[in-house]
Amino acid sequence: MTWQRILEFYLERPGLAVLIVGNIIFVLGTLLLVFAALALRTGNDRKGARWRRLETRWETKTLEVVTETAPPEAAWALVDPKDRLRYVTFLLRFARRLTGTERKRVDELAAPYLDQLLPQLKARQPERRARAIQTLATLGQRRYHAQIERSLSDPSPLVSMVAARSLARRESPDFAVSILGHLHRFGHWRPSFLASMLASVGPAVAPALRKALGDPSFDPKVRGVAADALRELNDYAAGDVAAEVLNTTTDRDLLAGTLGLLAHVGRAEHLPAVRAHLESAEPIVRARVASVLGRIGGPADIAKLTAAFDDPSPWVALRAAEALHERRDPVLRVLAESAHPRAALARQMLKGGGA
Amino acid sequence: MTIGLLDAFNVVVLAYFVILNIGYFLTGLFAFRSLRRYVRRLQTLDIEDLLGSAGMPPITLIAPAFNEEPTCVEATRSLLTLRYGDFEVLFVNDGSKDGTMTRMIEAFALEPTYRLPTGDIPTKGALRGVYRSRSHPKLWVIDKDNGGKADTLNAGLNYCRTPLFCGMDADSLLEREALTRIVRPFVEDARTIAAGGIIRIVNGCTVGEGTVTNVQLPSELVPRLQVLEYLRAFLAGRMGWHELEATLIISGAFGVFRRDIVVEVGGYATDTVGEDMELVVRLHRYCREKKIPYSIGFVPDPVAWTECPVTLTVLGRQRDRWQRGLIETLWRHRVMLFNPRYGRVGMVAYPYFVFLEMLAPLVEVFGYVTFVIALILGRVSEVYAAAFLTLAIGLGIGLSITAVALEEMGFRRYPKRKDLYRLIGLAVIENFGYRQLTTYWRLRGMVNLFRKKHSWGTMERRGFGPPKPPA
Repeated sequence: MTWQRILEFYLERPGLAVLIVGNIIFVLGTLLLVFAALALRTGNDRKGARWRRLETRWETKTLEVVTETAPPEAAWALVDPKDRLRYVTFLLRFARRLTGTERKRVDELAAPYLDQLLPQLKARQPERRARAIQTLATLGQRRYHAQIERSLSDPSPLVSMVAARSLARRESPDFAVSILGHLHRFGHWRPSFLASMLASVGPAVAPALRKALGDPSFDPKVRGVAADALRELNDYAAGDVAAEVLNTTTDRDLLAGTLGLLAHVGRAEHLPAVRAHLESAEPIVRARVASVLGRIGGPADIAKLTAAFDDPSPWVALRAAEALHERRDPVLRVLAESAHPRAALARQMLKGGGA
Repeated sequence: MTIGLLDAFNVVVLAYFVILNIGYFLTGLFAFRSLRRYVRRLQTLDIEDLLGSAGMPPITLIAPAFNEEPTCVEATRSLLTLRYGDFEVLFVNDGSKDGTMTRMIEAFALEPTYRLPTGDIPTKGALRGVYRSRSHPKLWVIDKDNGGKADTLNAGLNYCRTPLFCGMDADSLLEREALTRIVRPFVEDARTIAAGGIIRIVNGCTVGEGTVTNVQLPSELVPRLQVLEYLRAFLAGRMGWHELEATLIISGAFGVFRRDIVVEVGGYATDTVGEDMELVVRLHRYCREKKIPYSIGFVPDPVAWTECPVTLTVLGRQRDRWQRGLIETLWRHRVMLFNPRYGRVGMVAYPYFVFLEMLAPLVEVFGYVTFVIALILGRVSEVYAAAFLTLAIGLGIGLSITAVALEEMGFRRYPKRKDLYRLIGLAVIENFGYRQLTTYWRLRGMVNLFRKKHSWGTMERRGFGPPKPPA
């Protein structure tokens, strides 16, 4: 029996059997990978070609609808039922290039198909849910806001953030309150990014932000984000709240954020609260104080800024030099022409080198 | 007795070989999982939205340059056209002996100025001057005496004023949106202290106005083989380590770091030729010891294009240096090895790099030698030998093909079908000579380290123009 002899041969040499089986497995595995690479290339090339064909077909008619030379039905007639979500993706990219009434027409074109995306809000992969939220928010006008707002509580921070950014773009203060309420979920995100997102809602969000900034029950990080957002909005009404925060908090980041806000919206009456932090142990706080004094400080603050020019931290010195330059005070020229170790910094400022 | 030792050594080599390849395959599997998720995640990214956001952190690009005359102007121009809100470029000339400074002064209308240092990391090379461009206000040039790459990066760090900095090579070409993409982990996770991008080889590609306009494989074999190697290292290797949250290497050619923490740990180490890896390992160690929550990762889509060696001599010097850098780093931080205090880095990544990367050339070379001796002495049958060698080659091919498949799954940067076939062919060819050569160079690196040879080696640049015909 041939098979029996082969089996006996390998049973006597188990090491060899393992090597040969290993070889077979790896040859098959490698061939499978080669096949996968080629299949991926073929599949993607085909998909790409089909996508280009569809786009060419849709683009002309969609443009006609957008420019009101054809009714929406003309574009819908070109969309096969199986390509509906592809058409939505196409419209999504198209929409980003348009504004005003033309943009509205794109939303109208997408409207009949958007409900098909709703099941994706329950998809297992967070990326799919996030993509669906993004599409519904971009093309769905206000129709899907309830679903998007609910997604702020999605277990995935990615979905939650996509929802928050979508709502922020709606420029409605109501949504801003919702976003603020969920801001603690974005603890890992960069505060300046969150502030920028909130500020993009527009001035209507300012009252909610002021409330958050002044409310000690909020996390200091959230309050810091609120301060940054108010600074981006140049909200002058926030000055008093900010000064009050300076008197009550010891959190470094919140102090820095609030001083950054006062550098933009502060007034003379806020100076005492600002000066109280001139001797802070934190260089970032001292640097921010110098910036505020440069913007709103009085003649009495020149001596303080000159002293800050000698601060051991180069950051504080830099901000002090900027502040003195901003105040157009002759002391900077004196420093520039002196033998001061940082005279070159003063010369740079005078030359317009900036920071 | 000798025969017994020989047999035992062969068994050890075989076991080592099996473990090594299991390690490679596991990282490949993790890479697959991570890349699949990342590609899906990219679909939720609106790059324009990110570019328009005022919340993106400012970055300083620190480009250390030594004798970069052929590429410095084009590479700097490319940096200045990056699509990113708030960034500045610090080009640091490390006492170049060619016309690097003259070309920079002429091309960018540089004028001497002053810039306040914000850090005080000690540097060897004395400062010669600071310049600012009249035509491009974002560009500053620091001219200093020669002190080596790490010293030059430290000099740049001392003048960095932004919360993040990007360490790179002055001859690298960053893709326009590379910064926006690489900064995402810093925006999405405030614990992020460092992130590395992917390095791709520019040889053979067409470059126009500081960007790669046509991607294709190089025409010469040596650079072509390196394309495959880079794909394997980044897509199958680093992506896998990223998934395991144990990234130990961020390439010196393109990585973004939080300035404050790098200054806190003392900047780049100037007494090693592997300063990029050493910094990352030191950051891991520092954060773990100080119990600072942190994250270090790899992002596969921001690309830095770089010129690779085209001759075996230069390539050999590069690999020799990489191996020395690896050993120096691993030896310096040996306390982390199998130390649970350092989490997965100490328990998984560090042992992997020590036993399966650092020692690999040694074991491989001695393995080849003893295998041949055993074969001559009749201790191994020809059938065994053939089966073993086929398996070794098969595994090597499998690993490279995995990288090619990952590239197809994720990015498809080589659009020509011909290039895909070539990459698959290279996965086979590289096992016959090239892999053995790299093993030899790495072993030479080990030997040179013990002989205390610390040379960096020179890289011959051709520039980004069209390929020059051979002389």
